[in-house]
Amino acid sequence: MENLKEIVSRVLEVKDVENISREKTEEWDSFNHLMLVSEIEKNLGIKFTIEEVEKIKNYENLKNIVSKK
Amino acid sequence: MKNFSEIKVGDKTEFEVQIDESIHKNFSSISGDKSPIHLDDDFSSKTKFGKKIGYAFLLTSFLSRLYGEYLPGGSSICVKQESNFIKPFFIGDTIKIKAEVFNKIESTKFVEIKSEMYRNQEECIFKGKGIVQVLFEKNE
Repeated sequence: MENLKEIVSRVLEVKDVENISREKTEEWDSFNHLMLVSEIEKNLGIKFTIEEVEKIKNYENLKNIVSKK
Repeated sequence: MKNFSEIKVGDKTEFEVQIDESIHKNFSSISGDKSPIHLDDDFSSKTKFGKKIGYAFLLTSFLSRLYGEYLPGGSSICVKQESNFIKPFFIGDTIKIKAEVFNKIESTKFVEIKSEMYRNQEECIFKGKGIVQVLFEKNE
């Protein structure tokens, strides 16, 4: 089973995920953001709220949101 | 028109399309694909298929009808599609399109739908998986 880092890397097609953000990372556009959320939900068996989906801004804060699930 | 909450995992639909010369020629015109394997009887008679084959991407156009008219229908947009063209089809065939919802993701309003197409009731010629986003909520 893929971990969070592997899912992010696969969906956004980036190798180094630690320092990526929606603002700085070109690949993390609005479309890929939705694909990323759906892939994380499917692969990790968790569910996000709409507010959480909007709150995700970078990998660090994504990791924090996921760790609380 | 169904909103997101009314769509259930396991929802199914099916419909049929007759592939006639008119559909075949219209797709050639729309796509601009004038390949002899689709349009030239002499050329295609010498291929392994023995006659003109149908356009693979014509099959995917039926997914537009599937998502827009039947499952989920109405206000949804396709955001991803995987398509496996397994076998050829020919002018005169009847194509049956079968589809089923296999996953829903609440936070993104994504509905995942698998589809299969059969020619003349027997031969599976297409398998695909798509994601549509449902935009409409009745209480919005």
